[in-house]
Amino acid sequence: MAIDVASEQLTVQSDQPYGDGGDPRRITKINLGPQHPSTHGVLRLILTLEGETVLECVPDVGFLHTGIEKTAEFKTYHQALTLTDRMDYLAPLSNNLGYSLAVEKLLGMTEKIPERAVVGRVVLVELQRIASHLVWLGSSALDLGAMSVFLYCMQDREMILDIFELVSGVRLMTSYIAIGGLSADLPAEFVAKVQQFVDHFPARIQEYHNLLTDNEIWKERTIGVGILSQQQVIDYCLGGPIARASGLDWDLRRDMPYCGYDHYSFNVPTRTEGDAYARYRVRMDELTESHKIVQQALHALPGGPWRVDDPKIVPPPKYEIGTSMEALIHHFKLFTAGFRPEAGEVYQRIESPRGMLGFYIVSDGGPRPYRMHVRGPSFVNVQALPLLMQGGMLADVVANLASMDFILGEVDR
Amino acid sequence: MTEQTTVEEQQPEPLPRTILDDLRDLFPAAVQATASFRAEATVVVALDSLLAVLAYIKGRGYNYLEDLTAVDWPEREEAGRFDLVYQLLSLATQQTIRLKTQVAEDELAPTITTLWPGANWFEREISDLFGIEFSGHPDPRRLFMPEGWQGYPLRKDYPIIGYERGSGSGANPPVVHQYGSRPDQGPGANNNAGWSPLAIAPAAGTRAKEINREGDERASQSGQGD
Amino acid sequence: MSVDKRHFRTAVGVEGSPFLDEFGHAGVLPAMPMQAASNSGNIITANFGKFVQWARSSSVWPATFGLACCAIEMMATGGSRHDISRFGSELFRASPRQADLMIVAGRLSTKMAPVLRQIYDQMPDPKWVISMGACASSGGIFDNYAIIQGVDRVVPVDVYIAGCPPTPEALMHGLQMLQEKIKRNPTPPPDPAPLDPSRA
Repeated sequence: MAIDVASEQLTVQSDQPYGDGGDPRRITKINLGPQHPSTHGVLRLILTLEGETVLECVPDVGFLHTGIEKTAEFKTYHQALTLTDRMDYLAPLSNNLGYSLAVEKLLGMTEKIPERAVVGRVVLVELQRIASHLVWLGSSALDLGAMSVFLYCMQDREMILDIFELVSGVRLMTSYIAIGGLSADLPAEFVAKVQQFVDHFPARIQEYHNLLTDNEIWKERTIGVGILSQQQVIDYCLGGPIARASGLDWDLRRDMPYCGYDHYSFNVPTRTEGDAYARYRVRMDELTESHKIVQQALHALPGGPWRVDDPKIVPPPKYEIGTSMEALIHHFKLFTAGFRPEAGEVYQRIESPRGMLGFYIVSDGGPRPYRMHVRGPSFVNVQALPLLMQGGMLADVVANLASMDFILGEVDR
Repeated sequence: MTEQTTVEEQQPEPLPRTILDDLRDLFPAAVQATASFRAEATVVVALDSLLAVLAYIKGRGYNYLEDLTAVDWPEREEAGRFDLVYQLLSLATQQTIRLKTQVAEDELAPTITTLWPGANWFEREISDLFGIEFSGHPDPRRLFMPEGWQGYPLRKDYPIIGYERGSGSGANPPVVHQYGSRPDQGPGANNNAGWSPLAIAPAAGTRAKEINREGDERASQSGQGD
Repeated sequence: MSVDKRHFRTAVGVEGSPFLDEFGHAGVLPAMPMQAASNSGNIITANFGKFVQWARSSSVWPATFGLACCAIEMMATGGSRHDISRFGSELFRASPRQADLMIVAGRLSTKMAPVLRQIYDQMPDPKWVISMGACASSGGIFDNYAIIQGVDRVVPVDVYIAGCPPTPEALMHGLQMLQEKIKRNPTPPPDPAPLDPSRA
């Protein structure tokens, strides 16, 4: 007896309050997803259509519910870090940063993070933002018909993934930004490799602009599509590029800085139209701004320790375990029992590529988080989808889904 | 952030009135406790004044609802079992405040979708995973778990692996059928039986499956797996 | 990196002979025409059999079934650096009716399981399934109420690829393993009958 997917939703209903009282068979209810190339993940939209016009759009989520918040209650703080990678899986380092900052706040050690780690975090998170925006750009273009952009974006993103592989050994789920700093030192070739990318990238941004920004087809499909007003953005708790495209001049990196972002000079691109094209332009400009930040941070990267030197919280480097008794004991205690922060609760917000990512961690004094709640920006982005879809055409559904840039891992957790 | 950190500290000079002072004056019965931890202010209010307090705070400039979640404290007997946590932000001044209220297991909480329409899905998630119902909610359906699911996974007494493993003794019907892998056939078939850690198992397959199932049953009986 | 078989689910069978499969069901593998063709001595049917082996293994079109993080690596495999199309998997078909392979990339949640089965059932024969990643193969790091501990509880799997997520190289290795498997047996046997769900 399998759980029924939604057969009751797919019948044509003749008592719909839509239309002008004409033939009710004009109203169709269709299912978009959860397996669909354009839903950017396992999202299901139940669309009520009259011809090509979308009358109602009901998102159905939960197809990727992983129980991450519950699982985190059974892991120590160090172990739970690996769970955070898998939520917003297009920007795992962002999630790592949010979680690490939250736990560091809980421990009261925010000021003690060494400079090399702070600056290194900025470099990596901004590179991650660029990589995430490249996937967004590539898959949006693919959905709207521009296939080559996808291949170009994937190629540039490979350069960034090479950098991640250099520092951590892993392309995607690095868990590299850890509690106390970075989980390992940045290798010697890091600066050169990032510089190589930094030098190569501006020409690529220009290439994407040449391909899409003044492209007639692109503009036809995105201008005037899915308009969100600034009041709707605030009412529906939206943030990030979506809010900025609707005129709300809000960026956590500038307004509530963390991780030393107030030392870098960058602009916060905003637009007022609030349509899909505005969101596209905002994210494209963010590519340039992130590139600027990476450049500045790379020049500011100092030497020195890469993690807080507190053996009660941070595991000692592996090479010390063979020679130092204290290192061995601390390593053992941390990986069997874990550290015990003070009882209390914290909320840490960061600017993820999708919006405001928040980590709410409650500690009861034990080695495991009593409650870890993640406020994913994609959660509110998907909630706001009906505002964009209703009244639009079926073809605009795809453009809207692409412009909202959500990740279902973050929605469903 | 001097506004929020003055709650517990002893200061020699009188400080400007904070929103917490205003709250205590305007809603004397509602404010049950205040706390400050790591420069973040938390206010605990009574459930019946929640909407009024939130509306007042929203009027004072905290116009952005950052987060709405719940925490389960099953051992807490004196107040309600659940904490509902509202994290608010003022976009204009970048000040934040956290409001908490306590809800008992079968108590109805008020919906705040009248103040913030975006709270809709937050409340749906809480009622799906914790079982707290919100009176007046426009769309009280489950959000993550399938329709018709029994049980509230994020409660502390819900085992991490759920009830549906092993003997399928949970209230929810199992959706799995156990197919396993399709055997490789033809000349040069590559069925890697050699490196099995269960190589001691007599007939490859059935007994191993029973061992597997026993393990699931034992795990589900012991409750919280780790 | 990739394993072709889950070790304890081996069914040792010889074509055409009776055997007890891992579910305890007695079955006789039918002698499929294509298999007979590949083993027979007739030069025309033997070559035709080889042609079918080559054709089916060299143009395996996957259905898009990206669920989570592994889907991103699957997309990267389709990109130009790793380029899965040089192995014949040029087109990721959106419609399962036009696909031969389902790469289940990502963690399968309880709500998604019936959808997975439905998409699998909609694929026409011959079809194969690659379970990509640790979550699809065994539940991965999520041993909890929400995640099905391996998609082989819902569909029969041909190749399991380990990794979290597997690198594109690992996915391509798994695809090549599948191609070898298809060459050995271009017509996969019918699905085993499912267990009684109360035994799940």
